[in-house]
Amino acid sequence: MALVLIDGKEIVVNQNETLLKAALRENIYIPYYCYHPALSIVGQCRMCLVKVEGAPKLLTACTTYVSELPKEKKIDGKYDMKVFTKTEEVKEAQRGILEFLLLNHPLDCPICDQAGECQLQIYSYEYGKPRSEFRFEKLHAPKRVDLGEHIVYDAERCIKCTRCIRFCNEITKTGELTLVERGVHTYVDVFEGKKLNNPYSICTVDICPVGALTFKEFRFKERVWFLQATNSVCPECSRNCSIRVDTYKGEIMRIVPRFNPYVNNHFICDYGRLITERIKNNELREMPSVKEKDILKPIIEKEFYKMLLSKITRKYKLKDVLVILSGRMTNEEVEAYKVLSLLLFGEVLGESLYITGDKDEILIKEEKRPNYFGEKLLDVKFTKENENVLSLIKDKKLVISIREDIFKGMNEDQIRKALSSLDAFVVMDAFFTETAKMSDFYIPLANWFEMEGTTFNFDGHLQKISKCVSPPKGRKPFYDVVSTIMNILTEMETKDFETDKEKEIESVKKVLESFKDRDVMKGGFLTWFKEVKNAIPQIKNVSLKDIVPLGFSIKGSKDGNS
Amino acid sequence: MSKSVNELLSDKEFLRKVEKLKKIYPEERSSLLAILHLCQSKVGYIPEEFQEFVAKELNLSPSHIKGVVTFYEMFFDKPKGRYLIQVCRTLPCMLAGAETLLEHISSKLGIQPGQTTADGKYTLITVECLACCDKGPSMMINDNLYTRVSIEEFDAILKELK
Amino acid sequence: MADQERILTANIGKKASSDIDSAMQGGAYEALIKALTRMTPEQVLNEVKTSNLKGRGGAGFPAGLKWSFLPKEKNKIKYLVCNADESEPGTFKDRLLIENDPHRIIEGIIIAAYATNANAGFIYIRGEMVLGAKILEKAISQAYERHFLGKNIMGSGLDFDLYLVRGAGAYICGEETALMNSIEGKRGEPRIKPPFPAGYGVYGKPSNINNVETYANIPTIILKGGNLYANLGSKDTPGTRLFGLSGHIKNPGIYELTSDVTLRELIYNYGGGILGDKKLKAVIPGGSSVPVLTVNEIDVSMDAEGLKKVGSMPGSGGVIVMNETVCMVKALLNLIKFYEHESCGQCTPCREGTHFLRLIIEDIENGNGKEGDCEKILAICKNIMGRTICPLGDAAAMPCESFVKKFRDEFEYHIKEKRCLPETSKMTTIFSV
Repeated sequence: MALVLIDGKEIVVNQNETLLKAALRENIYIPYYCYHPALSIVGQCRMCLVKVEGAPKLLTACTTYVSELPKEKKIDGKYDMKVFTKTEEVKEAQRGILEFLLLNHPLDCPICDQAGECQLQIYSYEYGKPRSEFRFEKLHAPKRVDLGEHIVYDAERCIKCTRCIRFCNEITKTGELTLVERGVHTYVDVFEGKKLNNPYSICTVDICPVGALTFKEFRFKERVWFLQATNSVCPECSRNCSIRVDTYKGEIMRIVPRFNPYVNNHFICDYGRLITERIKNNELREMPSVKEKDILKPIIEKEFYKMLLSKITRKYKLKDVLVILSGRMTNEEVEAYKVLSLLLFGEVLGESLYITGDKDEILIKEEKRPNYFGEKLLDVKFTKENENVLSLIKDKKLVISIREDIFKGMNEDQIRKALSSLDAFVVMDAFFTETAKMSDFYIPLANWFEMEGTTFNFDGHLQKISKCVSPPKGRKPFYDVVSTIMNILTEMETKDFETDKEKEIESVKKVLESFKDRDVMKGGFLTWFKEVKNAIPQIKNVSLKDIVPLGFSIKGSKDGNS
Repeated sequence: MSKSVNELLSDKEFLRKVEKLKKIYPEERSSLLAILHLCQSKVGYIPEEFQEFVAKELNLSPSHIKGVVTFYEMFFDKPKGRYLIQVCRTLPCMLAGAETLLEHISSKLGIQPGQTTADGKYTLITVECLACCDKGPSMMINDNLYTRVSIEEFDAILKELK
Repeated sequence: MADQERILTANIGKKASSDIDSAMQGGAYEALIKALTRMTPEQVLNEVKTSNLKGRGGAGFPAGLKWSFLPKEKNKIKYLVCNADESEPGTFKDRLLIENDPHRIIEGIIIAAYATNANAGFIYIRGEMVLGAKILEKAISQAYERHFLGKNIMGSGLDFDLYLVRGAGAYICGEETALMNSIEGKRGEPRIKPPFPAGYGVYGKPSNINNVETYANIPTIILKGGNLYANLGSKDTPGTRLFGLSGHIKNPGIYELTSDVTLRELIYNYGGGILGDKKLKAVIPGGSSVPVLTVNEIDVSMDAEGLKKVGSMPGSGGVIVMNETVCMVKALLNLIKFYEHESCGQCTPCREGTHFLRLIIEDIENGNGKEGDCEKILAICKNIMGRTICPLGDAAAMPCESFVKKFRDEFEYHIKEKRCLPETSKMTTIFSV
């Protein structure tokens, strides 16, 4: 623990901490390129040069550690080091480095994706010289290199900070990238036939300070200063990586990782990031629909629910009902479902599909549903691992599926055969999937990016998802669907139900009464979050402020590494 | 003189040599440069197939090998002429008359530094200080060093090359 | 010094001194035997410290002090490295020792191993020295045969292996940490310091690295004693050095002399004067990376103190002599192209700065120089020096700075008149005399 005076401010620097890390922690900004908190230190870019009293040359802050001096040798009687980051010498060094970096850098700004978030632009403005004194032809190097399935590389823009190379060596340990050649002709390359195709390849684009690395799915899409940023969480596995969703005019342009030391640190996987591409190809519906002569016809909401509710409320014996839940439901949706189940069946039914897949040692978890831990906490039952759904729906009369494409990839005849014995098949999902097309009643839900909610990751870390884009009016979060159902039920009379089992209807109304005091009739995310807190003792006193932006941990199963 | 890389990789004698080199140093990776030199001397350059082979042998990534091959001056990743004529261009040799020598070689062979003759026999390059500055102008042809090379001397050397 | 007993070149010129039997007839391995049988490792280290031997690679760091940086614990793995990557323009002394007296070098390394309790050593020889590598390989295997290397050397309990690693053409591999990376099978890119090699060297183990000539001095220091050596010649750089004379000199070659010899004596008394009987114009006293000197700056001794007086350094002892027919712009262009070519490319100032300097100097040489170019060159040098990971940046900037400062008029003439000075239109070469 050393005491350092930096630009007149006293800061404590820990033993294994460099000057740069400590300064940034204390909000003293020193410019840098090659340093990255998740990667090894190389001290190559020379941008973080600072003046240290007593040292003959300027030192790079990223490589300088501070050791405690014996009492009699302390500077001014108390400091272990005195650092200056804004002297004329330091400023001249910064101007010099930027001049060198811009020497052969192409004037690509008008066509470069990085413009607006480019460290070369930003530092040039802040620390650079106003005019170039380079009158020569710039060196040319490979441009628009197809470096991988998602990655394009531009050697002219590259400042050789080697972050991308170190990422592939140290984080993914796949070693695809290397520097080739020497001196001013150095650039980044792959071995022929072994391109940059690891599951985290697009992270190299995030960490590239300039526009040398870009990813094909975002290239030339939109200028970054037009993008609107919203913090959210990735729904593609139970790690729940923190992300930032950049949108423009209601369309998601790209997803980038958000630093979260409890969940994913600095990175996310390509599969999660590219959910943007997968949801583009999906068909969407805005209105609930009923099957008529083998076609799903959109119907006005109130009509639809009256039809649905009169058909299924308290009509079936419990053994004839199967409800398939999903780890894609947020905590609020699970709590809302419990209420719905009480209304429709008198009991809380339902099993969540336990879907697993590949995992790795870095971020990807085997449970592929984001809120599976939240469901566990909320006492939801699970099926066997990767259960065959067809065997589950055999002999059932009513099947409800929420947020799962349960028939994905299956043979259509097999599906039709299984459904032939059913009375009613209700599907509620964000996308109009193959499963949805087979349903008798389809309710469109808002997807993960179109709603508010909370989710628990595999490790018991609670995070909030936010609305990044507004869905059209008809697509709601599931908890809002339940609120709508509750409201419609209060208005319905016995004659609206096919049979008049008054006793059954009375018990439904009693359940509705009991929930009225809890305000869940009015719906909305905040009211249902209250229900979640009541159901899970560990987060009873947690407020929304506590879970934004990094989330809130409760003790969980430590079977993964953050 | 030059073998093809496939011939080389199926030559048991060669593979034995590689195994021997791997065992010399405290750590196997230190034999990388020696193995690359061996390929260079037998094939004339270091093809990609060989780079992949070495990567497997030494448990390194192929990209690492590529980074090494392209860094060092003496390694070539593309075929070159049978005789690599390397003329020193650095100051002491320049003062001794290297430019005169280089001009002569260029016009005699009809190629500029960096080029190979059409028949594939000679590649001419300039190299940096060869550490025999008192005897400039100096040059190497493949592994052989020649010093105080006058124009006549060069012509005589050239005649001897088959 | 003519009557002085030769130290380094004592066996050179004698018959087959690379063969171990001939070498031992000339006294090879006597010092090792003395050290192993009659001295403790501490005594050996002290002798080297007392000798005040300065490193001969170019940095001039006290060798004994460097050895003492290695950890003392016996059970820690330590390596010795011999830098035989001689690539500094104007330097050719290590080649002489390697090709003609390899056992002197090997003996010096083994004595160092005894003093520091090192486990193994690496001789890193530049790839272009094909003959030198063959000679060293044979000499090392002969040393093994005579039990000067290997396990329990001469029954002393010292285990020491010596490996030869051939480089592959990179001046930067002469930098100590780049050399270590090269030994590890990597690109020859220097490492950030700290940590220094004595703490983190080859394979991450504590290592000591010295130049060929430095190790070659050790046997004599052990036989004759550190005191005698410390009082030989110059005070700050005692002992003899192998000065290399090249360029426009009548008698180019290696001269073993003490460092109190003056540059004037070296050029005129030993070197025989200027080639072509022309006037001396400029001389680089210690390999191209040290500042150049004018004709008025040669009356200084060739040690640190003497050369400091005229703003230069002893460096590697490679003296490059230029007569009045040399165009200083052309000479500087030649040198900056060397540094641009040899830059490893890791850090911004050296990678881009050497390129920038070359472009400007090339413009001046080709008649396209612009007013203010000299100031720009000096400004770029200032932005390189002290800002880089390794000294190659400084090594490139120092000649540029000194050439432009000391020959400013010639550079300005070039810019204004768009051509060389008339007297430099036809340069002396060995062909023109």
